[in-house]
Amino acid sequence: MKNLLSLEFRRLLRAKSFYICLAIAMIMILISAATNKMLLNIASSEEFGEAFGAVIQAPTSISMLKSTASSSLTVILAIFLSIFVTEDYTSDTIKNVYAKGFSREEVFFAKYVSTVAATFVFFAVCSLFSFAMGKAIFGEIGNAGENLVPSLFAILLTVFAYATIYFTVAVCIKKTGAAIAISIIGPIVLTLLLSLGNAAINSEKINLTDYWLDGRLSILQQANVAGKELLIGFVVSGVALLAAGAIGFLINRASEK
Amino acid sequence: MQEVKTQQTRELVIETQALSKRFPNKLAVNAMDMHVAKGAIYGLIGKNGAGKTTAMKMILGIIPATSGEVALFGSKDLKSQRTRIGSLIENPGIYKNCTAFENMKRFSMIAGGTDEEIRSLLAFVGLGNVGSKKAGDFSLGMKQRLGIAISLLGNPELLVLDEPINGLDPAGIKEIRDLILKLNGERGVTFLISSHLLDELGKIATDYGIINDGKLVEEISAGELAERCRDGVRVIADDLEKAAAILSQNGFTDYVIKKKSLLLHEGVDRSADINELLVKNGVRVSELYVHNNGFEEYFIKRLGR
Repeated sequence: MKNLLSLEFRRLLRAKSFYICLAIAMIMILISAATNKMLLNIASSEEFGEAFGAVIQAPTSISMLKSTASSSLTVILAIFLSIFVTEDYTSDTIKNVYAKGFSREEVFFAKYVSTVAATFVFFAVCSLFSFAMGKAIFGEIGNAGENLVPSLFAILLTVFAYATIYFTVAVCIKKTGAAIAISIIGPIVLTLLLSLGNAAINSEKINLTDYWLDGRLSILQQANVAGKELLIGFVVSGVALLAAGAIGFLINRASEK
Repeated sequence: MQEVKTQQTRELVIETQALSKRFPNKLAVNAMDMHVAKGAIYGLIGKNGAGKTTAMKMILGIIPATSGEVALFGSKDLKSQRTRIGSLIENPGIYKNCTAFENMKRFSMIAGGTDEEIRSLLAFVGLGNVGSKKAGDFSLGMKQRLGIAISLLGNPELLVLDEPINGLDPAGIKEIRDLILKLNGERGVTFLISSHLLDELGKIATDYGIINDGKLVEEISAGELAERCRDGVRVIADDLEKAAAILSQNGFTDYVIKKKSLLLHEGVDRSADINELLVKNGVRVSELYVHNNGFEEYFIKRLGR
């Protein structure tokens, strides 16, 4: 097992796509921050103030840190993990691993561990970069607000849940293009269906999108996250992660590829 | 009648019992009882789709068997025993965007092997000077060589090679043949090899398994095969059915009629008598000669073509 993990981590650290996707994620943060700065400049102008009378709050390092797990990060993760996980199947190198006596369960576990590690690196690097960009561009670290650290953990768990879904899709589909397409389009379709469900039930008390990762991220990225919302965040992400992991494990075990 | 000879007196490195694989619409391998003895070069022969690759994949654990059992090196603890096996199944499984060295380095993590051994193996298969060229840019033959080098990582005691000389030029084929003979002779490595090139296999194999429609129809040693591939008398005549009837009436019963000739597997030293017999009975013989029955014809016959 240790040997298998060594192989997976060597693959990870030597994957060009890992560094390219990480660089793209950081560039996206930079573009987003630069766009915010420009919009802020426009919003601060006299013409805008007279026209709209609006007060635009400038981002800070803390607010940028909390918004790290934006859609661009999860989309980039979907692309990278699809490429990384399916590589052994598309290049047919997986047979060399099975032929050395490793079981499908061991291969699944080793790939999942490296997936979690890659996801953590993405999240950590992008978080630090966001924080640094917030300070460099907007000059303010900002107020930590309530439950900053727990909410960051909840955001991280949500990102892990997304990564587990992408991993499961890749392990089950085993084809890079299809895995990327399903990983990107699937969550969007699900969010749309939940919105449709919201419209159908037409309830002020229940918002279905709040119980899906996308909706949870929006709540967790807010400045002050209530304890109850944090708890729901942990539960929703935890359930999604375990369910996706279990589905992937069972399908992979039954697979003959 | 199907004939399966076992080699129970020799130490077996592969033994399968009623090994079967059923795909949704096909029984790919049907109750296969295979016996590969230690030190053998076992040639698995069969036409396309006969089940050779599927059988090899089950032995290696790449796909699960539907039923039946596999024992490796006399043990059913397949997980540990498979670490003693090197393999090359179908196309070489290589990382196309990596160099030959990096490919070897990665697989050495699960198969064993130092950097020095990797360089030595690459040189051994003629890839010592490929430098930073990506494996995806290799020719078919170079990829095949890399696949063989990967299979040799960790000094395996058994090598399972599926069509190992595919894509190789004549010089490459000879190199691989020499390599197999060297590993077998010097290190005692056992080989299970499938190949369509019967002549090539005939130069190295010590044992054969003939597989047809998923069924292992025969296991035979090279010595037994040579005995069976004995000479015969080929007769080309105007009426082969009549010739066959006359031969049968005179005690020559071991013959086959194929296309426009009759091949008699006996009476090699009585060709003149046979000719006289046929002519006297009104068969117009246009050709009659002693025929050397090669491996190919034997296998074709056993495969029922």
